[in-house]
Amino acid sequence: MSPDAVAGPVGQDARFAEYVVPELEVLYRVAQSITRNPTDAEDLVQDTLLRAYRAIERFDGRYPRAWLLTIMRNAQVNRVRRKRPELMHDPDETMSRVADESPDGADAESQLMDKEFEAPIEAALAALPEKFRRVVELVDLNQLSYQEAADALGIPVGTVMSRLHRARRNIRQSLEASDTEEN
Amino acid sequence: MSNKTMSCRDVALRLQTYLDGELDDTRMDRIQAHLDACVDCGLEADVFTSIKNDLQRQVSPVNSNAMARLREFSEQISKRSADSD
Repeated sequence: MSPDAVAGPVGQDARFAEYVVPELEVLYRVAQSITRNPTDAEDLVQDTLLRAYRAIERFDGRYPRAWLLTIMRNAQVNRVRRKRPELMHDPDETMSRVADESPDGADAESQLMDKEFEAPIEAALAALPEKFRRVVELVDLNQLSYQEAADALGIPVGTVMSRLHRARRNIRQSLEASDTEEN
Repeated sequence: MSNKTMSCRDVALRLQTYLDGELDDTRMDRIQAHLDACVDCGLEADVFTSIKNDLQRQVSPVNSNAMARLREFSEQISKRSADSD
């Protein structure tokens, strides 16, 4: 169905229900990875939904998840720009820095020291630097494709691949080290 | 693409991408054939498959209250638009 055929609120609602609503859970999971804060994640998804509704008539219907993740990424960049304009030279780096500044001031390393992990894999994941951990969460935990993760983070697919592969090698080393300690 | 056998080095370079299912069908098939025949590369693939599976089990359920609020928000967007017309 072409956008022209569904113009107007009814068609807009139908397209929103068809393309956007089914992706709500993925959007919330990705938002949690990006913001590291449940309240911010919810706000970011709401912002994304509003932007998506306004743009739905221009959407061609192909790859709705990738389209929504790009909208979410742009929304996050704008949110960060409003809060911390001086950080906007490198949006990817900015998101990492904002995420690192979690509400309780805990970084991944201190969380690692404070928490008794249920499994070595959990500790290995938590020990990764933020930008590597985020890619693992998007691809391995939330099952995004490389392209979708790239859209969500605003980085090239090649960067997603290199971070992901390096992160998994680090996880493997951590697991091997933990096996050695146990034996 | 030629049907030549892939080397262990070629497979190592593409193993992660293969495990993520992000290669074209021809490359997927060639790597699968190599992994079936090469014990060392097969073991390497098993290690990373196990890591991927363990990571997937780390997914926690989303907060159902947050999801309910987001669904309600989605409905309100449409309603608000209809009311303003």
